[in-house]
Order: sequence, then C-alpha cells, then structure tokens
Amino acid sequence: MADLQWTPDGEQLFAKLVEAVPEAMRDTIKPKLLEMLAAKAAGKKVTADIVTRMVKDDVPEPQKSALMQALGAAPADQQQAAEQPAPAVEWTGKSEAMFEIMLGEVPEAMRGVFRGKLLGVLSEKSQGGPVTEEHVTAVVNEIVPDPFKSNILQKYKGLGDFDLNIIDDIIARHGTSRDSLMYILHDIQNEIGYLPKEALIAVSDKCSIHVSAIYNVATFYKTFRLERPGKHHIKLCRGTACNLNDKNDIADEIEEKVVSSSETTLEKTLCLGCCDCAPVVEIDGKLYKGEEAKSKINEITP
Amino acid sequence: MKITTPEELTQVKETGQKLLFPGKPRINVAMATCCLAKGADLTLNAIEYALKEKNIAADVVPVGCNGLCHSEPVVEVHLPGKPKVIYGNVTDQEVPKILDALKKGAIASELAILRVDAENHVLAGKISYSDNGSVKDYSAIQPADKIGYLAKQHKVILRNAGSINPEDITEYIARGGYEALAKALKMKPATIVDEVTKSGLRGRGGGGFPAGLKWQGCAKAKGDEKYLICNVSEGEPGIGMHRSFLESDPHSVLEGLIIGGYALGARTAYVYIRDNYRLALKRFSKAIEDAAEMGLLGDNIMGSKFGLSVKIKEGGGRFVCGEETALIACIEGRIGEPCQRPPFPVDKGLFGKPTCINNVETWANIPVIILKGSTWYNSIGSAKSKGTKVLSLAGNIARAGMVEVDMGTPLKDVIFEIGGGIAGGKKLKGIQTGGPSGGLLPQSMDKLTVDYDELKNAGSMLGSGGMVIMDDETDMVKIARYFTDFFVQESCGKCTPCREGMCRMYDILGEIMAGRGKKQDLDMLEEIAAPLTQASACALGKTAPVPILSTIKHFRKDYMKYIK
Repeated sequence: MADLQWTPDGEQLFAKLVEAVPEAMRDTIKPKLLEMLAAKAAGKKVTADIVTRMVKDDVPEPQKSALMQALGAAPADQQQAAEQPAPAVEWTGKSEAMFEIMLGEVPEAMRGVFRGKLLGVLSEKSQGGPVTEEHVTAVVNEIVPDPFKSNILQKYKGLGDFDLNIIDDIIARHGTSRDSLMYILHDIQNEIGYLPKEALIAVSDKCSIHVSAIYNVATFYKTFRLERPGKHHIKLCRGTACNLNDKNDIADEIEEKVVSSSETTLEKTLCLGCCDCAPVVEIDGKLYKGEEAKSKINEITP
Repeated sequence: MKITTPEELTQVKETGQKLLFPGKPRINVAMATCCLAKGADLTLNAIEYALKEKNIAADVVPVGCNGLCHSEPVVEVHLPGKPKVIYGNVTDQEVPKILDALKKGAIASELAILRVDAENHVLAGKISYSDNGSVKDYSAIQPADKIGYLAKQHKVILRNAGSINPEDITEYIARGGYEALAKALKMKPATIVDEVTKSGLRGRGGGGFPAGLKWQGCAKAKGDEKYLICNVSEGEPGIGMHRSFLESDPHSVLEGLIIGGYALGARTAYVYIRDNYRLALKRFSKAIEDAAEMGLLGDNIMGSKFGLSVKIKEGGGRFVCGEETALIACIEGRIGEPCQRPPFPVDKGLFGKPTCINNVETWANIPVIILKGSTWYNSIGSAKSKGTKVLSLAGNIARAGMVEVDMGTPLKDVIFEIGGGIAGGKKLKGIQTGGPSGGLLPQSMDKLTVDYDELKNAGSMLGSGGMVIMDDETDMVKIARYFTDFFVQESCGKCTPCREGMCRMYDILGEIMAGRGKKQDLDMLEEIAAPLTQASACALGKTAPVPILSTIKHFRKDYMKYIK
C-alpha cells in the first residue's frame, strides 16, 4: 500500500472492499487486489472510481459480482442476470453434491450471488451438457483460492469412492414411487456396500421423498448400514438354536476377537435361518459352522 | 413354449420325466443353504471333476434339502432301474469311492445311509425307482420305509424337496406340478374358495386363522383391485424351514399364489422375503421367470382370460414385519409399525385395497387341496387342525432339520422318533414351539400334539412351526432373558407397554441373574406383563412376555436357584 497514493474516498472504498472479502481469504486476496489497483491507477492517486473500475474490469466472476454488491453498486451484469435466471444445470454422479460442498465454503451472505454465478461458470465449462464431477473439480481448481480450495478438495475425498451415477440407474429400474424405496435402498447397499448420506440425499431429490422419511426407513430396518463396512463382513448368529448349541462359547470368542480389528465389520444377527448348523456364522456371504467359522476368522483377522 | 392346453402340459411333463429318469445315472446333490453351510458346493465340484476324470456319463443335478440335514452333505445316486441310494456326510474325500462304484454300475454300500425303492408322491402317485421292485445287491442298505424317522413323516408340502431341481420348472411339472392350476382355471372362483374353506386349512403363519374365512372375506370385499401377499418373513430365531422350503420347491408356492389370484380376483401378488435369504430369492425369481415363459404367469395364464404378476419384495430384517399390517407398511416403503385392526387387510390392506396375506406354507397347501380335493385334505390331521405341518427342529436335538408331520402327531414322537432325542444323550428339559412368542413347555408336556388349539391351551402356540428343544443343562432364566432381549431389540416402539415394559423386565431378569433378585420380583414381572398382553396393538407385544410367564410357571425352580 506504501507504493500507492490514495484519495480519501478511494482508501475508504478499498477498506470496505477488503472487509467484504471473507476473513480467512483476506491475506491472500488483499495483495492481489493491490497489485491490480496499482496497474489500474498507473501512478495516479487511487480514487473511488478506480477501485470500482478495477473490480469491474479485472476481478473474475463470481467474485466480481459479490464484491460489486459489497461496494453497494449493482453487479456488473445485474440487468442481464435478472433477465437470464441461473442456468438449469443437469448433474451427473456426485457433481451436485460436490457443487453444494463448494458453495458451503462461501460466506452465507454471499451464497445467493455465488450460486447463480458458479452455475453459469459450470454450464460454460460443460458447454451446456451435463455437469460432471470433473467439471466441478476443474472449476474449484481454477477459481477458488486457498485455503478454501484445499478445504473443498479434502471434502470431496470424503465423498467416498463410489459412483453416484448408479443411483440414476437404480431409480430408473424401480421408479420413483414410495413403494420402490426399499428396492432402491437394497440395490444401493448391494452396489456400494452401505447407504452413504449423499446417496440418501440423491434418492430424496430424485424420488421427491423427504430425506427424513428415507432416513427413518434406513435406520428402522436392521439390514441397512449407514457406515462403510470393513473388508470382511461377519454376521454372528445369536439365534435361539445357535445360543443353545454353542456349548464352547465360540460366539463370545469371535465377538471378542473381531471387535479389536479394523479390517472387519461384526454384525450380530438374531437368526440366520440355518438352525440345523448351529452355531453358525456368516463370513463374507458364506455360512460356516462353529469350529470352521473360528478357523476362517483366524485366517482373515491378523 | 407357452402352455395353453392340457395336452401341452402333458408334453412338458414328459420332458420333465426324461430329466428325472434320464436313462443314465442321475446324481442329486442337495444344495440348499443348510447343505451349503456343510460344504455341499465342494462335494458338487468334486463330483463334477471326478465324473470328467473317470469319464462317466451321468447327470449331476443340484436339488434342495430333503430333510436329512443331520447327514449333510447328502448325495442321491439313482442308476436306471435300480433303487435310489442316499449317501450321507459326503465330503470330497468320499466322492471317488462312490464314483468308482458307480463306474462299475454298483453302489458303495458302506457309505450309503438308506435306499428308496419307490415312493408315494402325493400328486404324482407311486413312483418306482427300481424295475419290478428288484432290490438285488441293495439289500444291505436300509430301505427308507423301514427307517422310523422317515416313516413317521408325511411329505405333502415337502413332496418334491430334495428330489427335483428347484430351478427347473419341467421337473416340477413332471411331479404333477401346475395340474392343480389347470384344474382351478376350469372351476368357478367361488368354488375354489369353498374348497379351501371345506379343507379346514388354517393359516400356517402363527395364529392358525382359518384360511377359508380369510379368503371368503377377501373374495367378498369390494374393490376393483385386490392384492395377494405371500409372507416369507420368518424373522423368529430358531426357524429356518421356510428358507429351505423355498430353496427346494419354489414352484409349489407360486402355483398356490396363481390359484389364489384367480379365486380372489387379484392381478398382483407380492412375495415378501426376509432379507439375507439370497438363495431363496434367487430361486424364487427364477421360478417366476420360468413360469412367465411358459405362460403360467403374466396375461392370459394357460390361455385363459386371467392374468397375474408376481413381485418379490425383500424385507429389512425386522421380526415385527411378519405381522400383517407391518408387512404391508414395509411393502409400501414405510417403516414396519403395526396398525390397529380393524380395518383388516382383507378389506383395506396394501395401498388401501383388499389384500389376502397368507404364509408361504399356507400358499403351498393350495395346489394340493385343489388337486386332491378338500375331502382328502380334511381327512388328514386332528379334529380342528387339518393337513400336515412343516416343522423346524433345532436346539439340543440329535437330528435337527426340516420335517413334516400330520397335524395331531405327539410332540414326543417328533422329538424322540423323528428328531432322534436329545443330543449327547442328555435329558429333555423344555420345548419351545412357535418361536420367541411361544411358551417354553416342560418335559411333562411332550404328550401334547402338533395342534393349534392344544398348544394354545397349554400357553404356547404352534406358530409357524419352529420347535426348539432344550436339554437339562439349559438355564431357563437365561433363556427367558435371551428372549426378552430379543423383544427389547425387535419392539417397534409404538406402544408404550411393549417398548418400556420389555426393557424393565430385561433389567429385572438381569438383577435376578446377578443374585440380587427377590421373590417379589417374580410377581413384579407378572404385573408388568399384564398390560402388555392387553394394551399392545399387535401380536408381537401381546406375546412378548410369554417366555417369561411360561418359564415362571413351569420352571420356577430355575428362578429360585438365583433367588436365595
């Protein structure tokens, strides 16, 4: 700032501008803004007018509109924006969930403006076609500054390695009526291994069933899992017959052993419906009897 | 090909006969879930490998469970014109011995557990396996009809289990399958309902409600659209026979449903299968596909104007979903909370339309009733419980597994003759019939028979046919607490007495087991139980305290061991 000469109104407006920048971003953004101002002023005193013009000419969207709004001026192309509502975007896979995560990083007051602008950028990127996960990631990489960028990218990793596109296929198979919900949830769990939050949200959006109703069903029925299961899935039968026939307490032993391992998920079920084999354990979809189960478990747990 | 005439059905029947009697050795390998758990898949692989290696021409067929669960893996070998021989405990080690004998046209007698010269099939009549009844070279092997635990059974529902390929519709047809449907389609729907009523068939799911009454109600109910539901919820612990049954003979259930659809005017049937029953689900789906391909499902069934589509609905692993209204809620995509009745499902059920819900075994009875007639059916069983009942024997019993007996058979016979008595030579202490909702009966009650009313009067229930046997080492307080824990977990939480009462009872039982119990605690348990039986909306809540109450009544000594 030392290199710049300011008029009082120019300095005031710039302070206002910096204030509008989210706090965490300020240290990164401020030098950039100053650099742009220096170029704009070209040795002259920085007036309020120059500050406004700098924002208008040099700041990229969507930050431009947000900053213009902060300056009290109408966004650069507000007229146009009013006439052309935010483009309708077609999402694929997790792209919508990713977009929402990106938007979640924007300060709440600015989110409204950002939403429209980012949608515009995205639809430009996808050239009017469906917005893919790659498109969203590219936009994040190009226009979001750090630390937001790394924050967002970190959160994308947490979305899991499943492909949300399958939900479209599953819904296409079963339809969107309420009585299809159980089929849909079963199929998602069969494909992904559990019911991720994003999947439940996607089902909610696509079937117009409130997400709380879906959560209700997903948590009432014991077969559904909301957490990713371990590599090995062990179902320990604690049914009547298995209880009675487990004279050597194999079930207790397995329960004790498996809990301590992170590679495996242990589920206690009330009956596997294979009572003549009691005590029985299902390991990765296959049933094992008593001692065999024990040795199989010793094999898969370190 | 589509079956539209009786002649075409006969034609398919002949094709099926050729599969069952292929003119070369036929080897049946039991491949239901119970068999697979004991390594039947390894046995099957070993057989296929050895046949190729030894260059033997034979048909290897995966079949369902034949009820010899205690000897699995089970392999049946049938040489043309010779008695069928059943081998038990066939691991891959035994396979070469059996096949070496087979190559010579002989039998490895030392490994065989029994032979079947002929059988009396309930629909197909007498099936002879050996030519002219010759048993030459086979006399060392015990014939099935001389083996007490088989002779005491009566296979009506399980007529095909373990002898036909469950994934081949032609083999089912070869055994008289879909003849009942052909007959039904020529009858008036009202006559079919009448036949079911006259047969005296009672619902096999739990309460034993007369199936005919339910059908009459549904037939009378007004509505342009009606639904059928087949209940394969089987959520109770200690029962696995519906799974085995569906894996062994899915078409018998499907045929019952189609007849029901015609009789009641339904065009859609739902089969609600418990989750995790993957093999049953796979085989039933295959049955639906095959039946549709033959024109036995879909529009214009067997060339008639009647059409039915069958949809499979996989459950979510909740015991309460076996209850009619909860099951309907589950199919509709809601959580399985039971509703107050009336309105009963026959008036206002699935999607608010009249719905007939029957248990899987009830549906399987329908083709037999139609083909053999209600008079025949009515002649089997006891005074008020007709027909046969499939039971699942489990617990501390020598021969656990799926059995079928006439109604009215004494429990004593089921346990000691069919089940082979208590495992490990111990003594019988308690019998639990009907799953967790049934009572625990003492040894002295083994004179009771397999009968809805008799067991109900004794404070238990027949339920869907679970029978868990407990030896004299069993601690009944522990068992009561185990079932209480089950209900704490399985209560849907809608009615307060059930939701809260079971938790309190669980705590009290815990205190008793920790040695801190008082005599008054037993009175307290009975006091808490009373409102449950009166104020719960569904049968789960009403019967949840039964294990506690029946153990206090019959096994008070066990409690007094803890209460000093």
